[in-house]
Amino acid sequence: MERLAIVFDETGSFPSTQQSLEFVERVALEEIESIIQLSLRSELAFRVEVMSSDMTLLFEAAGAVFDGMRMTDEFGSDGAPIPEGQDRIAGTTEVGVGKSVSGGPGESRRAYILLKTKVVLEKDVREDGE
Amino acid sequence: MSPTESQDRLASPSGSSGGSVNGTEDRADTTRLRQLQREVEDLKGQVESRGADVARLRRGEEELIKESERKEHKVAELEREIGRMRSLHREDVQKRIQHTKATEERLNQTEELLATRSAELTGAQAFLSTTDALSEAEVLGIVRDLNENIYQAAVKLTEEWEALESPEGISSLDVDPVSQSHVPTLVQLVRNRNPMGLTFLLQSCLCSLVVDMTSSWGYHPELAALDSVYQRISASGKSHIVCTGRI
Repeated sequence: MERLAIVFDETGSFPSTQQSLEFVERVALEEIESIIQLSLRSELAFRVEVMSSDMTLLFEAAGAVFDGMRMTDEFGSDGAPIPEGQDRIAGTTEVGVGKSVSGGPGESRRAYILLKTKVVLEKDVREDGE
Repeated sequence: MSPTESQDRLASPSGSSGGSVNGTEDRADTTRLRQLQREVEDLKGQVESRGADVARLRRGEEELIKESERKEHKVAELEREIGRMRSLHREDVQKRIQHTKATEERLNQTEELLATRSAELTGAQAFLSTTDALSEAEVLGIVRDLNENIYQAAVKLTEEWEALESPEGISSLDVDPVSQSHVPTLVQLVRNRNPMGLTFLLQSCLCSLVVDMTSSWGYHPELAALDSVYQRISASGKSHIVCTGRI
């Protein structure tokens, strides 16, 4: 709740943090509870119900360079390839899932991407913002 | 005439009547006397007979009284016995009730202990086996559901935000510079009242939140140095159960 309220603070949407918080609670309390429950459910799946590997949720920080091996572009439905390293991430819109499996004795762990993180690129939102 | 009066008359002087008349009277008196004597004897016999009857009845009464007393004693004894038996029965019932309660309590404790141990065993089995209870597809289904919920929450907040009037009285000096934000581009979009920018910003915030919530026990590449520790534990043959399946 507080994190979302801070978002509204940062954007100057409300005169006070308290008003931001009240707005979030009034509008999306139920949805946020569902998100928390699903987060805990995924935590249970990762830690207890899947033992053959280590799974984690993936998130990309804003400003990072886009990597098509780990991410998909929110507006990349046309399938046009994005040149590597030529644009940066404005934000993550969907979390991804990574999997790590231990190798044999003496071998390093192997990492896989099961679900790519979906991001929105700065080039797209810059155009919107302008 | 009573026997006493008859004797009195016999004892009185008889010369007052005189002559044959007196002889006749004497015979009549004698007859009368004898008759009276027989009557007296009969009466005595009857009295004796009645006395014997009374004595017999008294003996019978005494026997009946004794019999009655014996019966009363017997009844009292039986009543005492019944009371004793009732008391014993009550004690026995109380003992059985206490025994039943104790047994039920032990049963409840045993059931609770069983439930606790079963839960512990279930938890331990999760670490003892490398078998996955969920497939990758099922796990991804949960995560996609999570992403969908994040999107829905962001859209709902954005729609309500759009319905609000632009805040008044907030100058640009009241908010931090965009450059200080973790997501400066999106924040700038929202300050320009761009709804899509807010949806992205909220999605990004919620994604960050759920990753933080689930990452505390996750595998992080920066902790790969622990791999060698795990490998040594595994090679020692003293692998702790929590390492099973992770090494």
